[in-house]
Amino acid sequence: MATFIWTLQGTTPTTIDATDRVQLAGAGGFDSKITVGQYNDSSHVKTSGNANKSSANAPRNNKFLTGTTISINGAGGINLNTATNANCALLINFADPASVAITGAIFYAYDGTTPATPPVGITFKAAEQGDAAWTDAEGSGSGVTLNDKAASTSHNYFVLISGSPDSVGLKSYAFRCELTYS
Amino acid sequence: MKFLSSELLAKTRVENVADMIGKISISIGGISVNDSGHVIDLGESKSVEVIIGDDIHSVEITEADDSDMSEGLKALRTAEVEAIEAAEKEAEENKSQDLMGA
Repeated sequence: MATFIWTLQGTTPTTIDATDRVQLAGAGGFDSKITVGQYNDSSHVKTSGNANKSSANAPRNNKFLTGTTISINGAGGINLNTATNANCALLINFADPASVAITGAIFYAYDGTTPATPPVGITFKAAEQGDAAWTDAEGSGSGVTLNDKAASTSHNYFVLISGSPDSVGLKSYAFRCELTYS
Repeated sequence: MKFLSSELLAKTRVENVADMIGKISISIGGISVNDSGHVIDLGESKSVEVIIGDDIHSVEITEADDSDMSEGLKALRTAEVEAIEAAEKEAEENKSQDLMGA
């Protein structure tokens, strides 16, 4: 059976289980706020019991600066296309017992209910490692296109993510990855 | 590691292979290719099977492990960034001229 494993990368990776949440937060760290119109300064994994699962793992943070630049872990801006696999906050692994090739993969954020519906109250940016520009990956119709993968039993997608609240208040939404394998 | 399909096809050393794209069935690692700019991620594999028509080629990857992208793909992405930034600069200059003329 094919499986997905999602990880928040860091000095040590943090597995994002089905009941966990990825938290994009402010400069104050876990549970800190992001000012409206600003982008995340820290990233975390929060359990369903509200624990900071990634507290000991120094998780990566990807911050949108401009359409073609990024800040990694608070460092000065670099061109997005120069970010490495290790710089990416998200690692999505897809595995299958058979050696399969993957085409048509996309990644996006949505409202948590309907994949086509963008998240509410947040501007969400994503890019695959190596991309020249950020994508407003909001809803299934606007997902960031992920590169095709040659046949293998295990495939890694390295994804850069950043979000900015459009209004005050907690924003809750979901991430989704779709692909075709054969 | 990610490559352009044209780079992987060139490694087969098949003569005029670039001219065959779109005219004959080509598959790289199970991915059908009809475009020289098709980006294909080989992951950590050090070889890939390339099928051109009925001929099967095993291509060895000799690039260093410390890079996530091939040189050709890096150059393509850099050109894309430069094009985006040039377009943004032009749009900003046009905006400034509009404001001055208003």
